[in-house]
Amino acid sequence: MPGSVQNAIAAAIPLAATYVIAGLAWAIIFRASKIFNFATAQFIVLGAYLAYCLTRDAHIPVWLALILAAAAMALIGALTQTIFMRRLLDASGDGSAQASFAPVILTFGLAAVIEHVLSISFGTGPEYIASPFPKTIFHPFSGVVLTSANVIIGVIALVLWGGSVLFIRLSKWGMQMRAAAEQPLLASQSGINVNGILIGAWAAAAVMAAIAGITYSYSSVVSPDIGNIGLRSLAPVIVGGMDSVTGVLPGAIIVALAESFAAVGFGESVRDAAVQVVILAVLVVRPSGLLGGATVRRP
Amino acid sequence: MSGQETKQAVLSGDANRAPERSADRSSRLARPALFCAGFLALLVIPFIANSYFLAIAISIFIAVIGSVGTNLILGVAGQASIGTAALMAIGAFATAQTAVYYHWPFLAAVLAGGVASAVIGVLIAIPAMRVRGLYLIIATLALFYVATFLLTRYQAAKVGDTGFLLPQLTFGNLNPLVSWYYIIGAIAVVVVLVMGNLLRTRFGRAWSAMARDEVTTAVIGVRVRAEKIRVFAVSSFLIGIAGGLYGYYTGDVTIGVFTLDLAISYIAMCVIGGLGSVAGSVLGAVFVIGLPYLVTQLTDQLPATQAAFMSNHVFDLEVVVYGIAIVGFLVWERRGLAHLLSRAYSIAWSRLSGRRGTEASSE
Amino acid sequence: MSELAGGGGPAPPMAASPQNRALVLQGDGLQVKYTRHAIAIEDVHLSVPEGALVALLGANGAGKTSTLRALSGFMPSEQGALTAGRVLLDGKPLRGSDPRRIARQGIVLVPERDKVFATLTVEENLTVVQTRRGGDRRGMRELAFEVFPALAKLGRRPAGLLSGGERQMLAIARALVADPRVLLVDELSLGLSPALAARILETLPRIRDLRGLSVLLVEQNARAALEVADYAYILQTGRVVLEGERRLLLDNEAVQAKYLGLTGETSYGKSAGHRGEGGLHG
Repeated sequence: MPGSVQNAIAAAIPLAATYVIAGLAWAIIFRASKIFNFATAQFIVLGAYLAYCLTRDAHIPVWLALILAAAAMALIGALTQTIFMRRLLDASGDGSAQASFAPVILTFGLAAVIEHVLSISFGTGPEYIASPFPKTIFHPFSGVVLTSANVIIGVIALVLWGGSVLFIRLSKWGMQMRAAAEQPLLASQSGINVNGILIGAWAAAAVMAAIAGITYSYSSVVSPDIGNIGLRSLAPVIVGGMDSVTGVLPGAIIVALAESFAAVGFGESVRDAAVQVVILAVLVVRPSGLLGGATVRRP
Repeated sequence: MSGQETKQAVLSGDANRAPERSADRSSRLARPALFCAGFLALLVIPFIANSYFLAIAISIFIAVIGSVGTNLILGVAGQASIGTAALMAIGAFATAQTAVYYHWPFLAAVLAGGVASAVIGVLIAIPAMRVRGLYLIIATLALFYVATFLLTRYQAAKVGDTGFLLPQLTFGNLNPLVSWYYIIGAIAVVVVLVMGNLLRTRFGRAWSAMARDEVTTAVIGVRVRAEKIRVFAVSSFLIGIAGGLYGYYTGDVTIGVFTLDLAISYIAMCVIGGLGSVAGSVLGAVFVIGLPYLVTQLTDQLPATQAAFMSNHVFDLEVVVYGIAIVGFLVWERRGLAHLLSRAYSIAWSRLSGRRGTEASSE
Repeated sequence: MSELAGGGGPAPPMAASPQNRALVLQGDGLQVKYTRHAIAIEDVHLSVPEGALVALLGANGAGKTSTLRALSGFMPSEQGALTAGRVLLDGKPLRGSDPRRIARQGIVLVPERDKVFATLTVEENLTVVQTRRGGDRRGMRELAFEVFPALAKLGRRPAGLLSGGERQMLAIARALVADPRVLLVDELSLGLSPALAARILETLPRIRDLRGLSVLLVEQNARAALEVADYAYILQTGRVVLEGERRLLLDNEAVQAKYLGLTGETSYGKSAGHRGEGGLHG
């Protein structure tokens, strides 16, 4: 294989893993409530900085810091739903423009607050979290190099993805979530605690965001730039279908490959634009993505 | 009612008009009076204010044009969009291109900026229209990155970091700052008046009806597709004009100014001021542009350490305030400052005229 | 039977069985407003005795669905609310005003339109319903399949692919699984052929006989409703204008003509009143 192709593929694998985990953060909330949570990108950054704080100030072992940071993010997600989102009920909860408008704008405000509070607290400088993984290296096939961190995070991504898909499809709460997402009123009338379900979804999504940000930091740095990756991770969800948690995996693989090849071919600075071009292309050609449901198209 | 009659009723707002109370009637008479007073005040300001204040005022005028445009999408059409920064950039760059390289005169160049933004705005909106409204936000976010990327390349290729230097307008003996104040102020006033009226006509009502219930709006005969294109075109046009004016006023067009934070600040103007109303756009622009200056004044009163903290982080703190305000107004008062002020005004008016504040019979 | 001339107060019901039984559900002076201005119903008094099948009749827009919603709760986003009056379940005021809490207490609604989860299978639709505290979920599930055997074979089918009749059966089955104290059914016959509607309507008295279930049935199709109901209220422009026992309503041709749209050859004869006799007329 030509060297640049190998490089692109090698780079795409860990990128895809991060995109899967981050993509789940977008997809879970959208699946549960049809809300586009713009603050997801900043949740990812916040999770990473929380873990950094814990390791720096309290000298907590890295793996424990991840758990605590994820728990803190779960709380933040839950509070966002129960304090703010719940109050933004609109006349129709069916994903129409009116219904999703205010929550989306609110998440913009939330994202802005988080981003700039972090900027005040930490500035722009890159910070570091030591990676807890051994530094072994694998050569799966010629020229492609993977670290053990890449492999482990890849496994984590697959486990989280598979777990989410199975949970939503098979578990009792997953069933209630699907019901609440389809028709909140009927769900309430059936005795389902819709707000409780949404709290769970927001908490789970925030945890995914934290894990994505922290695991990314292990092989990179903690800095506001993680927010850009967070925004790029929207693409896997759009490619896979915004209301399809299953679609996050193929979406992540496709976007990671496309981005890596673009970066190898045209330079690092095209990453953001390349991914957004993919998004626009999907919107024009097939808005529902690979596996998205009929809820996406206009009636 | 027949279909035609229904359409007429909705578009003229009769269907929704609550019975007018006497307090409303008097405030309706007072409103034109208020406008005249405000207009006169605007005319007079350059004679009494210093240049610091004038500069702020000009920034507010530009922001008003941009926020009226943004509010059309956010407030009237009820769609989430973060496209303001990109469209402003496109307008500024188009203006720069026509002014610097084609030597178009001022007004023509600014109009070119508006048209360029309108075209791009409509192009982006069309695919997003085929899908539920949510997708406009994704499309405008993508537009931001793609436009930023392309314009950065373009700027680097043509002029580098200094950006495009626009030709300076000459005003003879007049103070340039004062001249800009009147020119941009006049444009802003025209925009406000025209849009204010437009929203009261069938266009505005059709757009709000569309935002609330597309199916019914289509049923009563409004051509939803055409109206959607129209509202995006007008909105983008205004935002583009604001970009072009900004370029001329500051004399320099660079891509670095047009950030996501800028887009969020325009969203903040619309939400804080009041979604869907021109008055709201104006109030929001005053608040958002004026706030940093207010803060700077207050900071001077603070003890040294806190003042240092504030001035180091003034930009971040501003955005934090906007973000909190967006969240707060969305959750608790969607009609924004415009509504709060008008309620305060009605209460004050009824107290002054000796009437007790009576509850409406239907409340 | 009693007729109201114009407003005010509940009509005194006939002195017969309804009053001698305990009332499982009562609505006193109910008023519903939408967007705080538009009054949908006003001063509505009705009651459902234990084990009775009560019909709520009236033309389109009379306020029947609003009455059912007043009894079963509104979501805050719906801009509709019970603005006056109270609802008593087994003589006690309801705790809470949101649909979920009310459903948990035992007032279960089968809605008119969005009545099943289209993206869930039939089996999932039934699983996802929460049973009233202390209710007999298993027994009610068995009852549901006994009354609607057609559902047994449809377990894996997404509810969105069901026919209108199957959907209605599933909707009622779901409500049964919740083991309600009282079942509210909104416009069961809408969209169904008269024969199918009649067949499904006839399951209601059967369920009542098997489990003592109390039912409040809203119907535009007065004829079909009176086939199965014991007692009926008639709504007109948001108020109860008439109420009475089935037999008396049917025997009065003036009532039939004015309120039920039954005239001449389509009205019931004086001897009518036996269930299941003669099926549907007209």
